[in-house]
Formats: sequence, structure tokens, C-alpha cells
Amino acid sequence: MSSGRKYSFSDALFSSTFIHNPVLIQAAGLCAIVAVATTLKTAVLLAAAFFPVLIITQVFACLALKRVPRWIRVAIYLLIGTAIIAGIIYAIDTFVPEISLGAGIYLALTAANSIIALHCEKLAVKTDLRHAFFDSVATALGYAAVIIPVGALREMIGSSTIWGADIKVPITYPAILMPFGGFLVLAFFAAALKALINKRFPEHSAETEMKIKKTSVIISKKNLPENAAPAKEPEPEVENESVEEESPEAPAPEETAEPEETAEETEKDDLTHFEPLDGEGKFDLSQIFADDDDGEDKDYGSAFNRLFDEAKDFDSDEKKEGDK
Amino acid sequence: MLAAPAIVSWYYYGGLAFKAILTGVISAVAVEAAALLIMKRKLSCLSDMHAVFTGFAIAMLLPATAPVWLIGAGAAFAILVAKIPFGPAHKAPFVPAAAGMAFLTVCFPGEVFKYPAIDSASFDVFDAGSSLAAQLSAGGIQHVNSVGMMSMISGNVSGALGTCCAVALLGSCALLAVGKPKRLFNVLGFLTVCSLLAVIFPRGSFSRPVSLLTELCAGSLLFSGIFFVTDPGTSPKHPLTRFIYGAFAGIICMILRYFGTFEDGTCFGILLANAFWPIADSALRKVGYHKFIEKSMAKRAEKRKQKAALKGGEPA
Repeated sequence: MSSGRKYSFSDALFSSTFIHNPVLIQAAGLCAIVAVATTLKTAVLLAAAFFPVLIITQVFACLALKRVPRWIRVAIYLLIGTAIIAGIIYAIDTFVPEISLGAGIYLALTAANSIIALHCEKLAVKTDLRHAFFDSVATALGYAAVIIPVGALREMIGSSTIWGADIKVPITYPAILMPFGGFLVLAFFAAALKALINKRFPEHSAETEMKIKKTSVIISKKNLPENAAPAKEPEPEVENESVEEESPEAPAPEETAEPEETAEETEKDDLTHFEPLDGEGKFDLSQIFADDDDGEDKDYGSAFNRLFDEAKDFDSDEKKEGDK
Repeated sequence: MLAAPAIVSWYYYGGLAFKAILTGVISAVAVEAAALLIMKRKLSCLSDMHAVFTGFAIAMLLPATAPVWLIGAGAAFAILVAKIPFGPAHKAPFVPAAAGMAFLTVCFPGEVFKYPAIDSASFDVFDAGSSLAAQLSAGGIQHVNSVGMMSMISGNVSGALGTCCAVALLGSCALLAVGKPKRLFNVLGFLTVCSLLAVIFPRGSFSRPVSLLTELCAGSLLFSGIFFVTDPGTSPKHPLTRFIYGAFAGIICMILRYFGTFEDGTCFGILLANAFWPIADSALRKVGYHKFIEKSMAKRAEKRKQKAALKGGEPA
């Protein structure tokens, strides 16, 4: 961050593998895990294939794609991923022809994994090489750390084997091999990780992060040139108020000084993840939002934010309806 | 409420029914108690009888000769996966018993649909494909005709433990009307849509009245409609919304019955209805339904106030 400490690999491990685990917290790249990670072998294969794809793509994006417009960038990620995966599949078919059958189309789909697009777009094209490389390795580790236990567990419960060897489980539940079983296992893993984070690192739990992000969005909106440019003072204030009304836990508009402090506090430990390279040494979400033209995927928390707000509305409606 | 089908199942299957129900209830309660202890929650959560209901319902949906481990597995899945992670019973997004049944159906379709022939002495004769639902999905009109209307209504056909006897289920429906009349709207919506669909689109070469009767009696349609659609955790609260929710669940269940792989897909229908209801609800909201409901509620509240004022005014 603004303090001159270098971004180390343990920072990346903590942030990208654990706190922002690509699968369990960011809910990206689920397709392969849910559909095909039914045995330990395929899980290991997918995890191994994911390492070169993510690392090479992210490093390339960081080195060469910073000035390329966004709509071309995403296509280039796909092309790089496809090229690497094609090589891997060719190698597997030549040297170990008996493995690749299980992974099928999903090995090829690794090239189009949403984790790649997410991390390249949100991080690699905005930071230096060191940061991008560490993040890619840590993210791939996070992916492997989820897919391998999931594959092993599903193989044990679903088909009573492990790495193809028979272990005698009295009752097998073949339903766990279906995609819904994968979702169930993932859900329990995600719940466990969330519980761990909430207990050990309460400052990083998703809800507080959402709050921080929301308040920092409110703050950064004040500083945005688009809002400041029209020279009409009341308008941005009205917008800010409406944003604050949407988030029920945000403080009253007069106390905007307090959330600034909380945002700054958390800057110091975790949100290095989101630091833009060419920012003025200060974490500011407006940098990330600035080039989001479509605004579809604003940041990691936005989809959940929306879900939460909708759920709250839904609940309050139900309460209004109830019992009268 | 579950007493009526339980008594009928005891009448038909004797001790087997008692054993199955006891297994279901005990395993569900034990699993929930263990989970609550591990998670350090209060054991008093058990007193809402939801675990008892879940185990009971799973036993009722399985054949009378279901092995202990099958009932136990279903109850354990229902409690551990569909209930405990979401906190107290009224917060579960899916009906736990339906989830447990769906899990069993996917895992062990052979065991779940292995109904004993009801007229055999010790229930060790298994008559494959003799249940009404199986015949319906196979389109076997002759066998259905030979069953006879009376035995169809009274549950004298092979099938799951507590779902066959339509009379008993309607009896518990009447109990519902006395005890919790609001929940009747769910059942009404569900059964209206199901019977309408059964009349409009009869399966095979059934005549329309026969189709109506067999569709309603076959499988767990009535049971699910009375016990699962009315589940207080997943159901909306306003009477009209309840009716719409029931109808929504009915449509999904009937579609699954017509096109599903398994002979009885009602549990999946209930789960899908649970899952898609928030979307349907937001669609309703876009149409302006919620405003309409709020307005009508406000009007009613005003009327009540006026009445109360009148009543208060008269004695003064």
C-alpha cells in the first residue's frame, strides 16, 4: 500500500487463496468443479492444467495488455488459454492417453474459466508484474485447494473409491456424483471457510467488506470528475443520499467522516488486492469503476450486494403481509 | 394431522408401519440433536416438532418395507443438508422432508419405488410397477380399471406407506381447515391446478374423470399438497398469495409427473417451487401485485378500525 512495504507472496496467499478464495468466496469457475470433479484423478488433472493457464495469461495480460481496449482483452485471454490448453491436451493424449477421457470437454473449458477473466481484468492489467504473478499463483493454489478435496470427497462418498482404489464404504450415495451433489459439497466448504474467516479474521468477513466498499463507493462518487464537473452542488448530494438509503447499515449522511476512517484502516491490511497501479497511492474504488463502461460486473461484492438487498426487501414485504 | 394417514397405514401394514415411522422420527430427532450439540445451539429448538414432522413424513413417503438405513439416510440428509445450515425451521428455503425424499429418489430409485403387494400376508411379495403412479406413467389403463374406484380412494393399492389413502389425507385436510385455516389456501391452489391439468390433459387413453381420480390418488401428490406446500417456512403469508403459490407448485409438480424420469416426481416439484418462488414473487411484484395486496390490506385495516371505533363508540 501507501506504506512502502513490498507485496510479498504470503500477502498473495492470504488474500487470493484464503480470504478471496476464487471458488468459495468469489464463486467463479464453478462449472468444472461441479460437473466433472467427481474423482480425485480428474480433480488433480484440472487443478494442474489450471496453473499454467492462469499464470501465463495473467502475466501476459500484465505485461502486454494494459493499453489494449477492454473488449479485445477478454478475447485475448480466451485465445491464450485455448492455446495452452490445446498444448496440454495434446501432451496428455500423447503421453498418458488413459487420463483425459474423464475430464472430457471440461478440460478444454478451463481455457474459458471465469476466474481467468476476473483476475486478469480486475487485477493483472492494473498492477505490476510481481503483484500479478503472485496473485496468479496464489489464485491457482486456491482453486486447487478446493477442487482436490471436493473431488476426493465425492469419489469416496459417491463411488467408494479413492484414486481408483477400492475403499469399503458401506453405503454409497451416487447422487453426490451429479452436479447438484457438487454444489452441495461446495456449499458446505464455502460455509466452513466463511465461518473460519468470520471467527479468525472478522475484519475480512464479507459483510464488513461490503460495508466498506459501499461507503467507499459513496465517498469516491463525491470525488468523481463526472459528478463534480456540472458545477451543480445539490445533485451529487442527492445521489449520495439515495445510495446510502439503499444500504440500510450505512451511517447517516452527516457522519461521512467515520466510514472514511474504517475504509482507510482496512486499506492497510487487506485491500492491497485492489490497489490500482496508477492511483495516487490511495485506495479508491473510482479507479476500478472508471473503466467499467457496461457496469455489469462492478466488483466482487456487487452481485451479493444486490442479492442481499433484494432478500431484505423480500423479507420486509413478507413481514408486511404477515398475520394481518 | 399426520395421525390420520398413520392410522390408515397401521391398518394396512400393521407393525411394519409403526416400525418405519418410529425409525424415521427417531433418526431425524437424533440427527438434529447431535447437530445442535455439535454446533452448540440450544436443544430447545427441537421443541418445535419440525424434526419429528420431517422424519414422520419421510417414513410416510417410503414403502412400508423400506430398510432402516434408507429411512435414516433420508432423514439425516433432510436435517443435515436442508435444515440445520439455515438455522431455525422457519428459515429453511426448502422443505427438508421433500429434500430428503428427492435425495433418496435420486440415489436409490430401486429401493424407494419397491412397493410391497398390499394383499400379501407378510409383505414380502414385491409387485413391480403395480403402484398407481407407475401405472400412470406407463399408461396401463387396464390394470388401473381393475383396481377399482373404492380401493383407490381408500388406499387399498400398493404404494408408499401413508400416501395412498385419499380419504385419510382429505381427513387431515379437514383437520387443517379447523386448526390452521389459512394454510387451506395453499392446498386449494395446489389441488385446483392439479385437477384442472389432470382433466385437460389426461394421460394415455384415460377418460377425463378417471384421469382426475387416478392423478390425485397416485403417488404422493395429495400428501405433498397437504403437508409440504403448506410448510410455514417456505409458504407466503397472504391468503391470495398462498393460493398463487399453491397453484405455482401444482403446475411444476404436474409437469414433472407428465415428463419426469421417475414414477413420482412430486418432491422435485415441491423443491423447484421453493426455489423458483422468489423469482415468481418478483415477477408478481413487477406486475403490481404487491401494491394491490398492500392496498387491500390497508382497506381492510381501515374497515377494522372503523368497526372497532363503532364498537367502542356504542357502549360509550
